[in-house]
Amino acid sequence: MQAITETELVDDQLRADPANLSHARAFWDLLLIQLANWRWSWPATLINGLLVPLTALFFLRAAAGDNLASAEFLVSGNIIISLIFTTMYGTSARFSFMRTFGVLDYYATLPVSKIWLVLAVNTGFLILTLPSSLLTIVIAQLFGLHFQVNFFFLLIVPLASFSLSAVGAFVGVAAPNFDTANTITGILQFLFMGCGPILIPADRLPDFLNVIGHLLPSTYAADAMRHALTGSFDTAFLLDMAFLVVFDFLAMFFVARRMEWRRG
Amino acid sequence: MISTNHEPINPPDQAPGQAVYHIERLTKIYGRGRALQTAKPANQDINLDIRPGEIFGLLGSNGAGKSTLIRQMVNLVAPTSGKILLMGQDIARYPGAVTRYVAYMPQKPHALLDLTAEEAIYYTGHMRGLSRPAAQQEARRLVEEWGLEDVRKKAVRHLSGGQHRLVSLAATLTGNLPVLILDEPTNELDPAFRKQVWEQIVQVNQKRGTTIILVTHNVQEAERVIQRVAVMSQARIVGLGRVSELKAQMEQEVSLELFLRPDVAAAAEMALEDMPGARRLQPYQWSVSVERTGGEEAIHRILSLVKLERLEDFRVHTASLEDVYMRLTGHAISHEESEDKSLNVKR
Repeated sequence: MQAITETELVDDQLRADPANLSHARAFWDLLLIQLANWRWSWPATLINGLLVPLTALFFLRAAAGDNLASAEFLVSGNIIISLIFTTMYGTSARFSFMRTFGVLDYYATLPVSKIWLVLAVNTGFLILTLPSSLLTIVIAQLFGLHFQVNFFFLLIVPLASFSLSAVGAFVGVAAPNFDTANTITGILQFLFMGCGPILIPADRLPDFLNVIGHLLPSTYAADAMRHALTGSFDTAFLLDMAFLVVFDFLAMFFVARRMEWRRG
Repeated sequence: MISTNHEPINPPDQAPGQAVYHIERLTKIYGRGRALQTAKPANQDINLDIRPGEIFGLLGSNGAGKSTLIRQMVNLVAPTSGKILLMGQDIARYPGAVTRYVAYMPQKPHALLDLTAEEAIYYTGHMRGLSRPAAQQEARRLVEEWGLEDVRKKAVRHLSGGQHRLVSLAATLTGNLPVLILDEPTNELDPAFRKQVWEQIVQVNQKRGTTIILVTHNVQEAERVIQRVAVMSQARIVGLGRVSELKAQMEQEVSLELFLRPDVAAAAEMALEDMPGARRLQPYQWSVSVERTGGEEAIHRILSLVKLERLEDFRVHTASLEDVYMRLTGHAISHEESEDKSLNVKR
């Protein structure tokens, strides 16, 4: 057998082979690329991150008054909106941008999966919104509300946001332009929030909205997150988790099969 | 570090002599359902083989179908009919062949704007499957080779158009994939940068045997680099062959190129408009094809008709690739036009 010279070995190592790209490595690279823009825009991000909890504080005082139950629902709803719907909206906008400016073409010609790209964008936005949500929880504690950040809360955050982010990504890719994507995502956000006990407790919603709510991942995401925040890990919580896992698998299947980023 | 083997490097699963790309009866019509019956094809019945280790040029005006063809070759657009084999693999069935073998630089690269120049090259290499040290080494080497040392830590979005394009080119080269597809690689570059790009393209081809497919409007400069060329017009390939072969078809002719003085151009253009073999290249620039035999007299006659005082300059040359292009398509290639501006808008 011919000996491999040092030059050949080095040359061979400099030849890319997609087989060397693990899923974890692809996800990590994609995530770091998503986070790269923060280096240049961190002051704005920081200010924005502080504004959300301060706004939550304002609403807490103005709307809930001394009613602790209402206050809990309102604050947890606010955190859910921030973590799930803002992430969906951001993911839709990012994918629409990538479609419009040909950035998706770049990723489509690399050996990376679109599921990992959706997950990376989703995670990027979660990392962006998580500090403000945690700060909201801290402020809520100061007002006597009993929220907790535990393992399940941190587990639910990605689980709850992924299925809606997948919807956002699909809208971003399928919409013909940025404005249309924004409008569709806005309508979906409104529907998801209205059709189910996200900001308003179930007993105050019309029955038909509760029925529709049972079909939407946002309902289970909000309920699971509310359970985690209040530390009540009962059967309902486990059912929420199970539904979220199912929705996430459906979202992955949907992204893999129906989101056409490669073939125009 | 780099192999100096001038022979084309065959990827492990490519049979010797096999075309890198084999394109067969490829047609693309944008739209669905009824639109397919009435829409004009963007590509029609394209047959093409691209050989290992060659620098292949794709020439054509705006809307000729070049970018659609390129995007089909990298699987960004699905053909309406026909097939594309890459290294013998049908890319519709095995899309992974494209990501494994082809590095593609689009006409307007907008990815990775928030990364620094060096990071953009590093991440592209790493995501193509280079190890971390290899991707870092490649990024450092390419930054130096492309003269990007001063901007290596600057965000790509803050670079000039030319620097941005050089970063994109360098990122395209990382990973040493066996096929490079470059869509207008010298757009937005000044003459010095353009010279650098053409030199690098030749160097990569010669040192590594990389097959390079170029789409360009810059026919004059590309002519020195391109080995084989396909000329596209109205969605079809109207000319295909080695540059020398295509030019040989016009070896019995010479071209008289006239640069008109703008203030008196109208009168000169009146004389040129009805002249056989005369074509307008650009505003105030015309070309007249003249039979080589008896050419001196013909040139004298043309200059007398147009009048020397109406000319800023003139030159006589043998057929260039641009002349071949004009002969095949019936019009000059525009240097300002930009192919398919609505590429990312669904049609």
